[in-house]
Amino acid sequence: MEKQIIESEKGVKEMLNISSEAEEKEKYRLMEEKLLLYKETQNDSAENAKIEKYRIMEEDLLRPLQKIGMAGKIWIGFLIAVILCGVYAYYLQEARSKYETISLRDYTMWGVYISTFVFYVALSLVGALISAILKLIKFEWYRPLSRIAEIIAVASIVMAGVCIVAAMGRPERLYFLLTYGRIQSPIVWDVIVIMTYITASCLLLFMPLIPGIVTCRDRLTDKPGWQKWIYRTLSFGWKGSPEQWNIVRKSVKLLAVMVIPVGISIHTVTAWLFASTLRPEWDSTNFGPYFVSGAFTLGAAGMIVAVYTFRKVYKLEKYLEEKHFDYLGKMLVLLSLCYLYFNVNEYYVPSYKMSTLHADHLMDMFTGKTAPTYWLVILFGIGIPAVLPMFPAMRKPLPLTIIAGLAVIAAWFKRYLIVVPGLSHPFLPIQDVPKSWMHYFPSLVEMTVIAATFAALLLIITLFSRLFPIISLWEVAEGDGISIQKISKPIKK
Amino acid sequence: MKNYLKSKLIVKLLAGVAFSMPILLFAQDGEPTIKLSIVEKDSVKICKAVVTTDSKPVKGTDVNFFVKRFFGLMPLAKAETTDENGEASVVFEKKLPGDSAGNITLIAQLDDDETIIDQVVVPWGAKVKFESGMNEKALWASRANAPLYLIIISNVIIIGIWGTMGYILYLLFFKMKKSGIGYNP
Repeated sequence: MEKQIIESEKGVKEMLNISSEAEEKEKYRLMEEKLLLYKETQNDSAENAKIEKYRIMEEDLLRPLQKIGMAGKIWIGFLIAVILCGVYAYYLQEARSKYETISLRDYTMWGVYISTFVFYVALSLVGALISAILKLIKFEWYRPLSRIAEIIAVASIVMAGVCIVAAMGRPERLYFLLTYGRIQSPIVWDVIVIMTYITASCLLLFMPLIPGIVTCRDRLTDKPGWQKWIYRTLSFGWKGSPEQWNIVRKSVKLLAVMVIPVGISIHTVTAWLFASTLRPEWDSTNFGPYFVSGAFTLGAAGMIVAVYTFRKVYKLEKYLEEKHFDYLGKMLVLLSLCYLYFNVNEYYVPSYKMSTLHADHLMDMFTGKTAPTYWLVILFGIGIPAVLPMFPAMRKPLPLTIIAGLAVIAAWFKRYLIVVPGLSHPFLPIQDVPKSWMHYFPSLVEMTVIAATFAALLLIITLFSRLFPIISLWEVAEGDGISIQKISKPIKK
Repeated sequence: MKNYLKSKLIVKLLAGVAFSMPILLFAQDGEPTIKLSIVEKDSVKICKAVVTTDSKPVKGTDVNFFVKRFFGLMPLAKAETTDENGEASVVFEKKLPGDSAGNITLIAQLDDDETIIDQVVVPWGAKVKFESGMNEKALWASRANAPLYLIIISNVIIIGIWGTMGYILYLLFFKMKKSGIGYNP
């Protein structure tokens, strides 16, 4: 009996153990489920927070497109007025004798027109720098800046073409360059590469813009008919299907890879225009990289100024952050040091030899009449941008923008110093020529035309930023791991 | 009156002397002429000039022999003096390029008066084949004669890049809209 009781007790205990093990397992399962649910909820709420952030961002980006204030209208009016003055000046240049209207002569046959052309070509390289190089090496901070870089690239390369036409005169004969141009001529290479870069930059600007245009089409319903028509036409039937996203991503990747060699080519060919012309100053094998490094420096400086302006005017401080200025500042230092290196190659080596061919021109730069401009350009265009942003305090938005703004101005004068004194010092001494051939100073007509090209550049950027969002929302969201489709879907509660 | 007539006569006499002096001083029998001819003896090429005045040979005058070149006259030898027959000759020993037929122009010229010359065209020069650089393929040639390597390289680059952009434009204009049809987000 006792034995039976002991056995039954044993059996109960075993049963109890089994049931407790099952309970334990059940308990753990429930706990795991709860944990999973908790995690999911946490993830959802984090994602929801991000989606909410991007919805606010979308609102902020569309705000400048809603209405142009009085200041904006005055700005656009001012730019149009300057452009009209430039058109009239160009009409005078073409209608009257060029000997009266402009200062270009036999020796200095390229003046401010070609200086500004080189400046614009250099500025346009910012598209390749920000939208392509940073993108391909996966520097994620490029994302909010890519569209600003691309519109600067497009506007400046278009204005570079305008400067060439202004310098050549007789625009109705422009097509002769294609019908009679020789492929052996660097001028023809330049025409080809400029047209290629314009097309590539426009595509690189436009392809990632399509989702933004669709946002405008769907959200800005109170806009005038022509504007809605633009949004409708340019959205190319976009519905956000995976195939459409695939097309956009594939195109952007292809263009980003392609725009780097094209961008470098455009500035190298521009350098060859000089290097293949018979002038001692330009007789340099260093000219290609010297021009490209200068273009990257100018691109970075121009980018800083543009980012600061958009940040302030459109109140985009939340998206164009201080960290962007920090990175751009560091980039400016690196690029300025590269530019300094090529400048040392360009000026130090010939000045060490000081051959009779170069001496006249170099001494004019170092100690002569051109010296104040030359040294100011070196200081503000290379020295200060290479040194000051090394200090974190100088990489704050305002100080960095002042440094970059001065570097942009210096960059224009740098191109002027390459073009004009270079032409004024030919291989053979200038003798027995009219006085006006010996010195060059731009005429009022030339300066007005150049001012008009600057106004047109700013007008293109202004109008673009008033028609389309200046930051690519989907690219920023994608960098944050958020799909753009989710931003337009209701948030999970 | 007498004195007046006397002085008038003197003036006329002096004038007559003044006019007749040069005529008396420079009067010659006639203008000398020069005649150039060529002689080939046993493959020796000789240029012979005969100087005559009124068909009479002129002795002791110097004659220069030249070959006409692109930018002037190239002397063949030192000036030769005419003999009693009025003849002066030089041996043509030079090897000179001629025109496409090998022709060169020989000139004989009086040393005293460079306007008195005679010339003959002889096939004594080397035949020169003129090649115009304009028809060669070169960097400095015309549009139609661009170097082949340049045409190939530039076209490969242009076609490669514009082909890629064309493909992107094709995707944009022909694929984009179709890819969205039927999609309901």
